[in-house]
Amino acid sequence: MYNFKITDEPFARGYLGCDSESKFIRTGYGYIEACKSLRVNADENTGLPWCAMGDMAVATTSYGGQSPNIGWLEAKIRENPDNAEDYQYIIDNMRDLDVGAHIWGSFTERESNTINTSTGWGGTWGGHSVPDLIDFARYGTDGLREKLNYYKSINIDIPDFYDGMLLMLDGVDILGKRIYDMACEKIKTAENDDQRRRLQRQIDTFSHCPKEPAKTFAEACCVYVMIFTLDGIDSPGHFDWYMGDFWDKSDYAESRAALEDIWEFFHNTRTWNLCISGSDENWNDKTNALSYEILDVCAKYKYQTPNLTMRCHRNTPEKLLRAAAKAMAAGTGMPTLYNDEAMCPALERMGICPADSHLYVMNGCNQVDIQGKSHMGLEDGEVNLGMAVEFAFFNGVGQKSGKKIGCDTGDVSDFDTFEKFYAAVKAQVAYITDTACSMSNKSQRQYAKYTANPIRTLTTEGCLIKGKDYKDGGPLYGHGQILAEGVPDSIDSIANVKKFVYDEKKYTITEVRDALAADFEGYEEMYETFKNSGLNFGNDIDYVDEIAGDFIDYYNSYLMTKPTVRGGFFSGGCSPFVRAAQNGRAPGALPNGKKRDEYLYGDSIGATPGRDVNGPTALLSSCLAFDHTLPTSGFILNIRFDHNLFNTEKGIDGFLALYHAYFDNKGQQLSVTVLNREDLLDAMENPDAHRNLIVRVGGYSDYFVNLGRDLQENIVARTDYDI
Amino acid sequence: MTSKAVVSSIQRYCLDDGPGIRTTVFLKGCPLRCLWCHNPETHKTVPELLQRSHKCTACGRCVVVCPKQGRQLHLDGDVPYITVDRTQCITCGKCEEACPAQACEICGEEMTVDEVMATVVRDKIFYKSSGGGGMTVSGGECASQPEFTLALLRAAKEKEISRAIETCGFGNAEFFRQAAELDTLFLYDLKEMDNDRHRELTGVSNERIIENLLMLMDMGARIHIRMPLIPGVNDSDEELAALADFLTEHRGKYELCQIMPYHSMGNSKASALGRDGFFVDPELTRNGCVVCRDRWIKAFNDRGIDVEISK
Repeated sequence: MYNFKITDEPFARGYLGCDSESKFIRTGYGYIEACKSLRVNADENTGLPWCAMGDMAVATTSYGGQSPNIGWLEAKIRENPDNAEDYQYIIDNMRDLDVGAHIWGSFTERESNTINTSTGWGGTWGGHSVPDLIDFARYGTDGLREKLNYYKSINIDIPDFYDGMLLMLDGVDILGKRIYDMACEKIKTAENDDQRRRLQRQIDTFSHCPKEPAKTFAEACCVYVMIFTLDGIDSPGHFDWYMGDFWDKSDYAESRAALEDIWEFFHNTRTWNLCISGSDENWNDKTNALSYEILDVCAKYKYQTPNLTMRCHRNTPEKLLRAAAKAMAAGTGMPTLYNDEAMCPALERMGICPADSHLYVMNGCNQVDIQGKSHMGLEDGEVNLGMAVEFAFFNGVGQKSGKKIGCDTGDVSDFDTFEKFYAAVKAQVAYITDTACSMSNKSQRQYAKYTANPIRTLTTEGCLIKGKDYKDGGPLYGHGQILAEGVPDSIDSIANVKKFVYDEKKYTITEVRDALAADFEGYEEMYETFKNSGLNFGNDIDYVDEIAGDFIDYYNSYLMTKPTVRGGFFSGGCSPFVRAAQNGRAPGALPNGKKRDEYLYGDSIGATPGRDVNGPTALLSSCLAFDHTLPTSGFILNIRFDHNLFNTEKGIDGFLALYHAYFDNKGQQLSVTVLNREDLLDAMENPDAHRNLIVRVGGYSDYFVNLGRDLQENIVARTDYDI
Repeated sequence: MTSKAVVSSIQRYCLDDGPGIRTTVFLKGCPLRCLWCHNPETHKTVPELLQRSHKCTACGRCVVVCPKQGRQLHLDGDVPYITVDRTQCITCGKCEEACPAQACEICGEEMTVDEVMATVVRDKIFYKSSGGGGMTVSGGECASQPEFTLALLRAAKEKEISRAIETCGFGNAEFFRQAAELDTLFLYDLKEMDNDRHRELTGVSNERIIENLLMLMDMGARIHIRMPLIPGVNDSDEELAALADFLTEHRGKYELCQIMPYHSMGNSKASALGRDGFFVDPELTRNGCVVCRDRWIKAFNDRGIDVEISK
């Protein structure tokens, strides 16, 4: 056996210490060695113990499984030549486990070009996940051992699969003991009562955990965070539900302190998504005391992370909605609201039974999973719909890359009817979607082949009875999700072509193609016509919204026919946020009046920013043109309000009325941005991006960009006050 | 419906023009000329040009397209600029079409009742979800176009959309009577009780305004009293006392009283129309007239009148 000198790669040491064993056993030993010597902290400031998994080049992370980071190991060799031999040994013996290399090696040239041009991509990473990590606190490792041994006795031919997880549990016990010892040591030199209290919490917890179940909310938080950081996962999931029992049986003051601590922890570690409230399959409301407490903490701390998701439905208490609206007004626009009435039917279409569809939870930015039962929160890929429009004009060739990335749809000059043009756009959408799906499936196949994920496998329903790893089709549900980009931009483009080429015959389709190729140079009149046509999605214009409904429903329906390698089907969604700009740079000029180097692009299913000028009711009405029970992956609608408009009783009443109308009509999601001073300053400098911004005072309202400079300044100043 | 009116704008998602979410229809034309008017673009009944000079890039496109040669590009100063001879303007809208910066706008479009209703009905789901939202006819002064307004109110009633009008009260009594019979909510302005002062401030007597209000009160119409208060103009202790006395005398005949604090946002529209704005000491009007508020509220509360301050 190889004798390591280095101590900073314990996972690799354990893994490579038993090279004749299966990947399950090897990973189990990797965990044991990692738990013995990875950097941990019984933190006296948050009162929660964490593991620094990220220190290692071979570790578990949310995104990479146990894939070794070869580049990082090579850097370690350069920085630390004395230990070069050890790092080189890891590289030589684990290179074949570099999943990323296998994935990129599996892509065709056209697939690689699809990624490189932001036309689309498919699942090159490990993905988000919401297993029931709380099982460690609920049953203790001893309880989990019992469970594992039961399934091992059923699937008698694959003992390694279960033994690997049993080894991991031994590692977790070692970790708990280390934290206990560290807390006992630290408390001797604690600087103040707060630190003593927080260290005592960890001593109390790990005097009997993780072997035994946690007794209180605070103890459950300690165990949870330890496992959360050991696994390297990024979203806590339905926190109020799985923590509700612990909350109810614990002392309030102690629990509230622990809740604030874990909130701080989630924020510091940039945790993605935490979910509250929602309904069961009979539409009973499942809000609990902890749901309200979380809203309160969210409003108090005003953090951007974690994203707080609140699930709503026909029986959501008005009191909770009001508390949510107050939290939104307090600062960050959180929580984001999801509609069970759209999400659950969408999930049921995928074949998920109602009892489980009502256990959905958002993770990552807006990816869906069934808490503790699925591996589908992956964000498997993206399809840039603007590129599909471009490809229809240029027979599959990208304007910026000059490369053939789309499919053959023929010479655009031959499209003598709108139907022919539109069919070509749809064919390009289907083609990019196929590419994204195949890339995702190829990638996920590699993860399934090379990695073992004992923590998630143990805590995700289906894996143990099937005897299959979390990544290898073990979970009960293995659907996928591929996000649409450029939703309004592609709709506006198609609407302009329909009206000006085929209805009014103002231009020929060939002229439009030539204008796009020339970036509208020499076609200024056409550019102005397209840009100022007013045919913009988000304004409640039937002409545009009919195209919108057909086009986006087509995309979402098409995806549902594509199977995943995990044993489910793909489904759609749209949550671009910050990626909007990057995707907007991908296409050249488009018939919505976007020039080649402009990047203003849809950042949700709503209008291209600034193009919805008829107010929020028109925006919501347009968005109801889509079937919101088709996509499952967060069909995001960003809606912006001036701080002064939102932050009054009237503003909140108005918002809740919008919410009720939208959600009663099966709108899926609402994400509120409350504009602050900086946003208004930006609107003064970049009025085009904020043409829709309405400001109000004293029963009078006007578009912000229409106001004189002095008045704009006046209003910017006003947002500093809570009037 | 053949009845037509010039509409300056139809605004959806209004929260301040009656209960719930409302679609407000702004008609052009008003018989009053309140010094502080925040909707000066609705004074005249005909379409008008709004020229927003702060958005103008002096590109000169409007100069080229103006069929009356009413626009001139000047290159004499440090920066080029455009001047408009408004006496030449026929509001043809060519400049608006040509302007890439949205600096030119023709305010006002002749519309039929059906055309207006086509927009109003679109927000029905929001009227319902906001509990009592609906259509508000504002202006301008809708009482100046009684036939059109009544036709609009009737059309809304047919579509089961609740109705409100925002009015200065200066109009034909028959109009108000018929509007009340259509179950209309009146957002009724009271600007000044002293008749002479009312003339100075608005250009008209308040006798008819008060008569109409009393008639509506007797009919049992739904009324919200609205009092625009302009610091240093119509908010002296005596003026507040006169308003409060009137409200005390007729207590129970209106649903609520609102104070609308002055703000200067109408000035940018006045300047876009080539008119002068109205000056009130900015110290007094800052943050929704925060320095005057307590005194205003006290004047009413002292007489047992509850008032809301519009934000």
